[in-house]
Amino acid sequence: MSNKYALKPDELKKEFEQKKPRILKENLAGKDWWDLPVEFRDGNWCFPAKPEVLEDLHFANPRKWAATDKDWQLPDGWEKIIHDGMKDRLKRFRSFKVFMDSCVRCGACADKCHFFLGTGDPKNMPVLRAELVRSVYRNDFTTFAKILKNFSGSRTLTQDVIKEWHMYFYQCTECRRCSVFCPMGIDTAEITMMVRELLNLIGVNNNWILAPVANCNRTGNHLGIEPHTFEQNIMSLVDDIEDVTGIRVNPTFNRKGAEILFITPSGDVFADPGVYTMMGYLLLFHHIGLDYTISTYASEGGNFGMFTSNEMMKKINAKMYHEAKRLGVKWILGGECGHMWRVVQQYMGTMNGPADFLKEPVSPITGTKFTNAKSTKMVHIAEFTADLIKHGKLKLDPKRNDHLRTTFHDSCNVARGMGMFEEPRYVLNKVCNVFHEMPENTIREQTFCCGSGSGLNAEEFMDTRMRGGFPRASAVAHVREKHKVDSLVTICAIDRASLPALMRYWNPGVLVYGLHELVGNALIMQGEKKRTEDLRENPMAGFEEDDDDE
Amino acid sequence: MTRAWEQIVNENRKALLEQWTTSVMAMLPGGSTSHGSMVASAIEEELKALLDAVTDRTMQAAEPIMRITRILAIQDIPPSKSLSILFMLKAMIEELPGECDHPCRDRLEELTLQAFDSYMKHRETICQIKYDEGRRKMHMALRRVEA
Repeated sequence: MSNKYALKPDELKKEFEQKKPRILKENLAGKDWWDLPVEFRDGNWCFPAKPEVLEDLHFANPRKWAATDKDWQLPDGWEKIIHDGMKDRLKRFRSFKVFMDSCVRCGACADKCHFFLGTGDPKNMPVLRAELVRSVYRNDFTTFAKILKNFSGSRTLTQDVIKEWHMYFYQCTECRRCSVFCPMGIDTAEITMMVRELLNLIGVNNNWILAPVANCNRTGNHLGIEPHTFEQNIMSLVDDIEDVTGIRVNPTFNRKGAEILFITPSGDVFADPGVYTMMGYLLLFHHIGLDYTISTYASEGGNFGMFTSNEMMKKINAKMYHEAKRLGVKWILGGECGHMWRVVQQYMGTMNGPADFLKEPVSPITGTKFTNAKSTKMVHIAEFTADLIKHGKLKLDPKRNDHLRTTFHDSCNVARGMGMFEEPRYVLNKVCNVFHEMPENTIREQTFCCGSGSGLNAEEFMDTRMRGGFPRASAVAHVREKHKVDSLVTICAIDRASLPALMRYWNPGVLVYGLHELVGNALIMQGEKKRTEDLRENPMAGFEEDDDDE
Repeated sequence: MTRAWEQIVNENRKALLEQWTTSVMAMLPGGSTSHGSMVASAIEEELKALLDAVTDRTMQAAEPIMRITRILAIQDIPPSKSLSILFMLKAMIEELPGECDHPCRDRLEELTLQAFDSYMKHRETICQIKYDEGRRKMHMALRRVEA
């Protein structure tokens, strides 16, 4: 059978020669690290922002382009824009200047990055990733290094350098694991933030970050959900809770005079499995009779502005305090999220504060003063729940989670960004009976990133995400083999979105849960019907329909 | 006297494994620099298991093949290159000193085809993950549409 569409062998060979990556054709032995070519191929780059998204945000250089294009259509004078942008940032951000100057290239960070560990690509070693920009800094801003160009490792800014920055600063998830090991205290995440800011000045960007930023800027949340839909989604979850527990919880929206404003990532309101975590929150608040309200304007805890620019981060974050002031609440309670807590913990108090119209947070149930939140006036839900449990305010039956064998993934920003390690573990141990830690060098301050943080959770980037998540997946595989763990619990919305994909590829059968989903499963609600299913409507072990001993 | 190729491979196992690992590692973006990485260690580990399965037909080859192709299927390496790992091994075995009573070609071709099946299965999984991830993000919207 002949096929007129099939290529002839010589055509096939020619096509392969033309299309196969350059790195496979060239002999690169003896070449310097920065001579290694950058190759954009399917699976290793995120789609750039759509022109309309950039126009919405008044960002530079809206156009249609792709990373695989030869010409990236950079604006006229782009070199000067980058140079001036760098000069400005070196002056404004002392940390950037210090991090450019102080690396001694000891290599302590080299094998700490999950992207290096998962790809083997040397430019993913944090020291080399930073060197991609340091080499330009030395050339443009330090006379001595400019003169001794070859000796100092300086280089001129070219379009190829921009392509390299785009490749590697979007293969950094700003997780800060490398900074834990750096003897100089260099925070590569901050270098990545600076370079992404610079790239945005010339329209080199990522749609998966900027589309949510534009949506957030317009409606208050990443998906661009309008207030009535936001409320409908939550009320739909209220119906689900009633089906499973027989209890009708009663959240309020935009209610002035409530004691507490609750803000969580919008993934908890529209995405699977985040919605089950939301159900857990709603059950908890009903259980303790909390006087709280949810805002349809401050309808997003996440802040992709953090992955864009300082100014955008500040703008998107401002709605939290605006809404708290408008509603006249005493303080803010925040849901399970990663980068939201880095923004809140490290920047919000000075960026958009002081929030002197709010009170120092005090739990209305236990009377505990959250003095750690005195400045920001915002308390993490894991701390809040741990305090409730510690004071015996929750009726819990951990057996209701006996169908799950759990381990806990520390979210980078909560662990390294705010130092929270114990509270989620304390809660988890009280709401389930089977919990096993992953190896020591993969948890707490040494936790491995999911590989998709900082706006890299795009479908088209899946291959690279699977590589970047390999170290985390390997740690889960370890407890799976050793302890038959089948449930990965986390307190981050991006983790809840990205880890299901990672687990399905590397550890099929391991499912991902939010901490408060398990709290919701374990809560014994007053007046509840006989519980036989968890919040996902999966049967609970030992609570079957015909089991009369309950 | 001719000997079975499996025996010759076992006699030269250490050197052969080293040569094979180095060649496979060279396919990664960093080449030899990749050695300190976790993916390099994992590949090394899986190649060991695969070499055992190549020579010992009583061992199940499916498991090491599934694991090594799962790693290779998401690397920045074209499928043709990824699946050439067993051809690489064939060439290395054929260069080993000593007469063989029959070539290793049949066994390695059989395993290459198994590897092809496995590689494709992993790529299909990636495709399905992308699709499902899109659906999960739109969970509540789809629920309303489908209600």
